[in-house]
Amino acid sequence: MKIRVLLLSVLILVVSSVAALAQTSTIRGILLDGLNSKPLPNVIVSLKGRSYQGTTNADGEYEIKNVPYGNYIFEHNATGFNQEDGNNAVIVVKSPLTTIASKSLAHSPIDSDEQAAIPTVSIEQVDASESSGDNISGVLGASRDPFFAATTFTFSNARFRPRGYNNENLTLLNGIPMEDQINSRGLFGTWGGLNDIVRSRENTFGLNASNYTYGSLDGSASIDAKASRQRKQFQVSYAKSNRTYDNRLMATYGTGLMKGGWSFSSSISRRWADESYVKGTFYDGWSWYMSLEKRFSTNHSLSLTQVGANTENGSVGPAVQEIFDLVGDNYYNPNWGYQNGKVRNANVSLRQEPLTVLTHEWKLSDKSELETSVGYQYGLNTRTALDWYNSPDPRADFYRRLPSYIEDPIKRAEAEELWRTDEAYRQINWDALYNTNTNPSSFATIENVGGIAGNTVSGQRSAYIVTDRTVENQRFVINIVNNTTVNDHLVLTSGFNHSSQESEYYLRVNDLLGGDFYVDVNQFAEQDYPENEGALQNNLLNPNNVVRVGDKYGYDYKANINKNAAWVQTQFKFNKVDFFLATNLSSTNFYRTGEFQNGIFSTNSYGKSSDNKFINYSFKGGLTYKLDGRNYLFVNGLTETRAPLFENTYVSPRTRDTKINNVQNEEIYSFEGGYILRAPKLKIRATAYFTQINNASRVVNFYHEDFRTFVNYAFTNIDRRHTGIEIGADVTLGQGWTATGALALGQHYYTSRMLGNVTKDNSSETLSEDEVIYSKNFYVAGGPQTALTAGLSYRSKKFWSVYLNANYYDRIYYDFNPARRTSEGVAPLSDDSQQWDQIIDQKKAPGQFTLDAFGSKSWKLNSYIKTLKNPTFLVINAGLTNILNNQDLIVNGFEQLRFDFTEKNPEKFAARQVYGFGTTFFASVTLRFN
Amino acid sequence: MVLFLALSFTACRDEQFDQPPSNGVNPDLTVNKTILEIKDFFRDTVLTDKKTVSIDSSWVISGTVVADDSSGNYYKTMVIDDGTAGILILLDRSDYFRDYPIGRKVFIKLQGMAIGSYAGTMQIGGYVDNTVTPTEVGKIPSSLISKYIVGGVYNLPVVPYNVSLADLANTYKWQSRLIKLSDIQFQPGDTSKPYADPVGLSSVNRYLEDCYSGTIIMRTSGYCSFAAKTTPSGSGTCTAVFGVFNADKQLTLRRPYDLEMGNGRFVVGTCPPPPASLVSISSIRTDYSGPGAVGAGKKISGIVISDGPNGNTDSKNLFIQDSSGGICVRFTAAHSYVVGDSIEINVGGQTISEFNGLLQIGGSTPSVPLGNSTKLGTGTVTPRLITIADILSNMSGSTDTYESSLVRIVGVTITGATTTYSGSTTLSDGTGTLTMFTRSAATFSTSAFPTGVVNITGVISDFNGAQIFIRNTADVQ
Repeated sequence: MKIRVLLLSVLILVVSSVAALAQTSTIRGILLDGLNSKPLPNVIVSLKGRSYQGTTNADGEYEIKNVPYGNYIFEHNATGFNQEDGNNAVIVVKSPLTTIASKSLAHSPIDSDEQAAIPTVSIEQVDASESSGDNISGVLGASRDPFFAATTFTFSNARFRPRGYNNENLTLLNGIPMEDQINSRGLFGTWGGLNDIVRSRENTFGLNASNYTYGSLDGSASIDAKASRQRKQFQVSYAKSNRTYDNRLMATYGTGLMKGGWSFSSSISRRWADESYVKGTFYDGWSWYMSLEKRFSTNHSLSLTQVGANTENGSVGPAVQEIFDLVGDNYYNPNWGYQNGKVRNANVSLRQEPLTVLTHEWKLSDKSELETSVGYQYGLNTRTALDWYNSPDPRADFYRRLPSYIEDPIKRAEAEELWRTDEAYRQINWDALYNTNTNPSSFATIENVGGIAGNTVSGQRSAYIVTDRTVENQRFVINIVNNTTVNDHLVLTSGFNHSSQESEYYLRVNDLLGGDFYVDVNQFAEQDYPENEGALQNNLLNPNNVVRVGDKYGYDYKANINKNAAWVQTQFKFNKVDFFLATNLSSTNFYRTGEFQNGIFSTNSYGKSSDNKFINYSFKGGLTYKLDGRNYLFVNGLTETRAPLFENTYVSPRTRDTKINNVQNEEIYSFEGGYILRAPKLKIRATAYFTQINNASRVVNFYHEDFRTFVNYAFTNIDRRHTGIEIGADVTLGQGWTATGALALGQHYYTSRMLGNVTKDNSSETLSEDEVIYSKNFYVAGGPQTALTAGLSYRSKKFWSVYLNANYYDRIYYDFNPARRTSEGVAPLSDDSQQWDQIIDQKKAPGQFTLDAFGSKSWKLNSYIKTLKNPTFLVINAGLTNILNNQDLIVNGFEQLRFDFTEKNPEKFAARQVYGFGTTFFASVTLRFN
Repeated sequence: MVLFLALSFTACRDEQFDQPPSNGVNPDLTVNKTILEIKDFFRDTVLTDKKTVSIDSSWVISGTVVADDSSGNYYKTMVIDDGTAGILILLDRSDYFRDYPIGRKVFIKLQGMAIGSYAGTMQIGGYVDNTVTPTEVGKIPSSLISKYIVGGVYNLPVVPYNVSLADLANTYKWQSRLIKLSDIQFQPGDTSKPYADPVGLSSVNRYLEDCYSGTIIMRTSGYCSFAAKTTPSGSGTCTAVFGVFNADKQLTLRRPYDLEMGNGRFVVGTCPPPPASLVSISSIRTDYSGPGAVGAGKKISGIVISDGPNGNTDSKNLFIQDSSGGICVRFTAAHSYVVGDSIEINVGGQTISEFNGLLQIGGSTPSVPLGNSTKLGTGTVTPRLITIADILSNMSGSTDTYESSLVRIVGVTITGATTTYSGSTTLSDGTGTLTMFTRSAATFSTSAFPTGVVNITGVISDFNGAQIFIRNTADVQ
């Protein structure tokens, strides 16, 4: 049955590709304000030298009908916007429906009575959310949707997650889905810092149909970074900020479409800070982009694009409230320490994952076009961390260093005093680590190095090192999409996607901290297997391995994932009703390949594991009822199964190929419905959603002090429900004033009792099996479940604008430790005791209010410097975020996975949290030569 | 673009982190107490009254780490010794040896800390733990270790004290010190056995014995890294930390290679007499309570202060002095030692008696075999500056303070029946008079003594009263 659906999909793809009849076309597209992505209404669009034209509606949409096949040059008459912007684009008309990617027009000071609002929120906040490691960036770019426009940037400051989802927004770059197959996270960092080149984008919301991908639970976005889609311009901008970076320089160049069909575009950017908002963090990022495109004929176009970002930054570690209170600073960062008086961060992230895409666009016929993209991405992600061998935990906020760990009140007071007053004391003591490694008692002689008898190495054996937790990714993707207009009522879209990913995980020595070498043995096994000499070897193939900077050690394995998917979508359009139906069929196979033979798991650690094969389906459909030209009612639904993720399947992939119990597909169904109003001065969208995700699993691991080893918690039978409402409104008040408002109210919670399985990294023994976790009705953590914002903006006719936004966030839940919500976690306490409640109750961060303001001003320099030939613009943007300097907004809170089962004191391993920034600014100046 | 590059390069981070010196440096702290002083100060409170008390004075001690937790046999316990004594420091950090390894000098700021005992072993920790009865020493909390313990230089030599099992009777002196026992072996039932129980993680006692039937416990933790290793079966030396657990004396091994037991086993009881142990001359004098024998296994060591070649001492006799005092030793045959020879004499079991008030080893018939003596080298004894009155007032009984020791009297006038040294002459220094006796066999007996005021160096003797004799005329100046 499933195979048949696949065959059917392929058949439709082929059949639709050859459908071709009519000789005139309808051109459709959207015009947006380049700075805030709001639609531009009442703009006349035309084809240069021809009489064909159309006018944009309230949503910026336009149609130019009955255009004969051929090549045209696009024009528009939008006032207040750069006339040249987008006007150079060649439109190739050779199918009944010519869809033009949405055009974002740059704001210009040309004579104008009408200007769009210019909220300047864009770039900087997007960057901030990237570096947060969270995945909100799925909603890059605003849109004509009032909820989306009001919330996207604003709520990212509170790490708001649309509908409470984790990674449910799929973004494509030149047709390549930017999704890590290991964990389904978006790969937004790939184009970090390249804000200029990702402006051409198309967004789809919720479960709606899109014409470039099947989509996910929370919509999708398609970025078109091909050279011909980039502006003809040279632009340089400098920005100053005090958030994740202090400075940003960006230069972008584009030729537009040149004679002979060539176009070229390039961008380079640097972002850096010696110290960012939080002490001990630095930022150093280089990004580049190049695209070359050639139009061979009216039917073929080939483009080659490369996007890359090398980003290195010192990170902030979450800490317990006890420390924040003692230090009197919610931005205490345990990750750094002084080394000979200099600040050094122990947790430095380095990301470099350039993507190269070859795209072929092919007009198969008047009514059908086929886009084929082949992408290759290779990258290295490392995150440094301290590693150590038979030594005290060197981390600054190690729980035994906290005053609360000390029972004696006098000594506790002494420790509190030190925490309060001595900055070096509360950070990592790098000098002490060097002392340990370099003093004569760390001199060691290692025999039989590499298992070679008589091979002896002597020197300073490092007890502490800095390690690179490395992931080396290779991704190869083929994506084919066909759009065919069958008739006035039916558009058929189909696609095929192949992706294969190989991710190698290993530890690599980054810094020996003064020592000569480190030895690749497992100290925990030494303890647990005193009579098994081999057990302590992390790699029996290279025992007693002496490692130095750059050498792999500890673990080394590959995750291999291959996925094929085919999908088909039918979109019907009638007078009162639009509806669509779509299906996606996919097969997934993944396995683990061990590169090391672990001493404890000698039989199931090395080599290729068995395959994990899954066949999955998805069906979705939707219906929009048009009450009139302004009022719409809509309903969409989806049901699907989803293969489990690699990272949630293997219990401890570092050491072995053991899988969790009952590896199975997730089962998902989702519905949404609502009302849309699109009046010239009032736009409203109100949506209610309901999503159920069943049979999920999750594997987490952490170092367990009592077991003196890593333990792995595998949770299965996770069912969650995401339900709630989204309301957005945009009111034009006149005289340049606009008011916006949005509300997101969610109930995102677990609907099942999970089952917990605990194993040690060091042992095949299961510490607990299918232990019932009383997790029903606990909230899914991650961002506020209540978020609202109200904004007011004013646009002057003198080319400046201001924008003020008030926001409130509440119901921010901490991620809870499932191990606590077990009978073992609370027995033998009485269920009406306070301690019982402290263990069971889910922690909630208090609601917070924030205020943001932004402003913008632009000049056309030609008015001042007459010698300038080409239109030249100077734009200044400035913004203040969190003006009231509210430093109590928790953006990430979670309970530690360790729990004090003996005393049952939930505060012994207290929850950790990260606070959102207080007042920050962003200011940029841009000079653009068209 | 130029601006772009210029700004970018000036913003480059300096990647080179400076590195501290590798052998450590001593802190700028003044050490104002020895470990022995601290132990003596609290001895009664802690060991007799069994109390745990906090230390309020701003005392600083230092010591070298002689045992750490690298093998896991010690856990959260550090042993330090400053040459005067050793003591245990309790600290709440595992693997602390990374910070304070064996051989590192540590400075301990005692103010705010606590001292007490556990089963008879004194120990210092962070605070008085009042949550238990009786109160105990609480380990220094991990987060406060750096406040109280400051590390100094690394890699100082750690030399164990050579002792015998018999010496360990002095538990107070030797507890918490690194000692080395020689000619020792595990008892037959404890050879080739695991040191401890690494599976059940429990501690195990193994017994060591010496040739004289002395035994001692070696106690090893089940958590320690060599718990599964087996005890050697031969005999040899054992270096370990000595401690007491109530009435038990026990050893804590730092690491297996501290045992060098490659020799064959000995049979208990069939061994040569124990090597003599060095005692002070004053202890022999103090121990004397009447004619008899010197205790077995004793030897003395000192500098010869009498002169043989000039004949003023019998050729079989000599006077020897150490830092505690002097004594006369009588050999069975003439010896050839001269003034300034540093010698060692086995005196264990030898006759000891007084002859007309002079305490002599060897008795009235000289009995010490010449073979009991060994020349070690040479040395000098600085004569004690003294008045005749002092000499006379300290000469009574066998404990005569200055008997058989070298003294110097200044401002002396010599008078006599004749004008030569021979026989008895009288010395006067204004505080009293003292008989000086010169043997007729002395080479200078017929020489005339000076008539003016002189300074005299000589050995105090006793012939039913204090006497002095000079070694040669150079002693009179």
